Amino acid sequence: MIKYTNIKKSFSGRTVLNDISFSVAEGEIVFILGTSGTGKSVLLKNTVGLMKPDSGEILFQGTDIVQLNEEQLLEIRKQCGMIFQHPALFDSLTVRENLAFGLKRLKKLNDDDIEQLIKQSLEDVNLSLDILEKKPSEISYGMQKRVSIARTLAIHPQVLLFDEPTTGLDPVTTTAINQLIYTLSRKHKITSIVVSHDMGCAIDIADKIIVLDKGNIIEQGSVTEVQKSQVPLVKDFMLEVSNDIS
Amino acid sequence: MISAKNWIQEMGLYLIYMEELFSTWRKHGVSKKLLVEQIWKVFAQSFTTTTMSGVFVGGIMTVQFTMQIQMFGAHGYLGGLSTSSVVREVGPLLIAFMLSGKVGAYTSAELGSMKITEQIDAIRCLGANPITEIILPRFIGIIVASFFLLVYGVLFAFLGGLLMGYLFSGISFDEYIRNIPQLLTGISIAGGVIKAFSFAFVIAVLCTYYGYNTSGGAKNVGLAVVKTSVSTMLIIVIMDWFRSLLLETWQGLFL
Repeated sequence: MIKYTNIKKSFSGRTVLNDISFSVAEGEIVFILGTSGTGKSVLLKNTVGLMKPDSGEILFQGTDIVQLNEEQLLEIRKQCGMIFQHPALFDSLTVRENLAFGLKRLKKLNDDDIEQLIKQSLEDVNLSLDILEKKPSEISYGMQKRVSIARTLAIHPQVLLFDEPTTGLDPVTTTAINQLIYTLSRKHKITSIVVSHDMGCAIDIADKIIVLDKGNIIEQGSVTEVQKSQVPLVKDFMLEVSNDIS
Repeated sequence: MISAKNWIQEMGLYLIYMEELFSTWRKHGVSKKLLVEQIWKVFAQSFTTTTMSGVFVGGIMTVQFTMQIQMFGAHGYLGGLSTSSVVREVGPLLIAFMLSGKVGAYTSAELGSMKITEQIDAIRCLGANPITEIILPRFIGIIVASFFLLVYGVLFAFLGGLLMGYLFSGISFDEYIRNIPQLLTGISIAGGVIKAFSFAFVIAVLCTYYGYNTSGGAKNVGLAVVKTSVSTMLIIVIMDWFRSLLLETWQGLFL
């Protein structure tokens, strides 16, 4: 469904992504793990055209995203929803207006259909309708994250890109969000790419794990394959999971 | 210390940014609802401060001129001198400084925060253009509201001068106003109005530019605010000097 080939990206002479190649099949949950500053978020932003790689190609259902202009990218963004590290809700708008924002612009639906999708997407993320008239600052950070997911879900994308969805959340909400990613992917048959530091969660729900270090892929494969890896950084991640369990 | 090369580069970036704003405006227009919201927001935020600044700027000028002209027994010219200097120079300049701190810094911080919390990326991902959606309404809103605030502030500076002339210098309202037409010409008023518009334009360009181009973390939002305030004041002073120079030369040649 998505194929990354030889992606390179540098900022001010510092290489962030170096010759990255991998593919994501339809319906898969792929976790991209790595320490901070290894280019994981940059990779996601390249996928929806928020950034352009210096070289390489990103094929989304056969279309090279890198070559598209801002208007052509709208079609990709209808199918590829991104959930940011921050909730990225618009402060001046209510939850309802935030949820309707993408629907009005990307889908151009009438008010009744928009209302129905808003309610449906809030149900999907287990939030009640009584927050609809609240501003983002009036709900908790965990709820803001869920609203952010609902806003993207409302446009019915085929692919969801999660950029560290559980950063800054307590363990209970983290588990709930991870469970949500799993349910959404399986229930709606959505392909998910999740950037995270959380190897434990990746082991629980991923179909495939990719580990990045200093802009390079140092390990990739199924959960079982990655668990057997002898790469030091991957072993460190695994050790952390063992410590968390004990 | 900013080098000449950096300064020229920065000017080039302002121009590229303005070109992007105007071409997007031409292509997509701007939402009237968002525009009215922004004009109202800027006006409501700065109304009281502008009134206070205006009154005190006028008052200061009157007190200063009183001390100078009483030596020559020319009290009758107080209103003319004070109003002329307030309309031509001091009023627009000081009120623009105040607006650059109030409106400029606020907008720059607001846009910078939106940028670093990925709201601007989210706008793009949800099928909208951030220039149309958030920058243009603020840009045009600040120009319109700041222009009227500057004109309104200068009017209050006149009233402040009038009041201070009466209270501090013991000059009646009639006497204060009588000599104003002699010293405040149509060109002076036109100069003041042009100045108000150009200062409003500078505030709008720089605060939206620095806010929109913020990157990194919270520290850089602070940096964007500082850059906005410093650059706005610097460019306003340079523009004011240049305009004064042009006007004096023109008047010297033709009048």
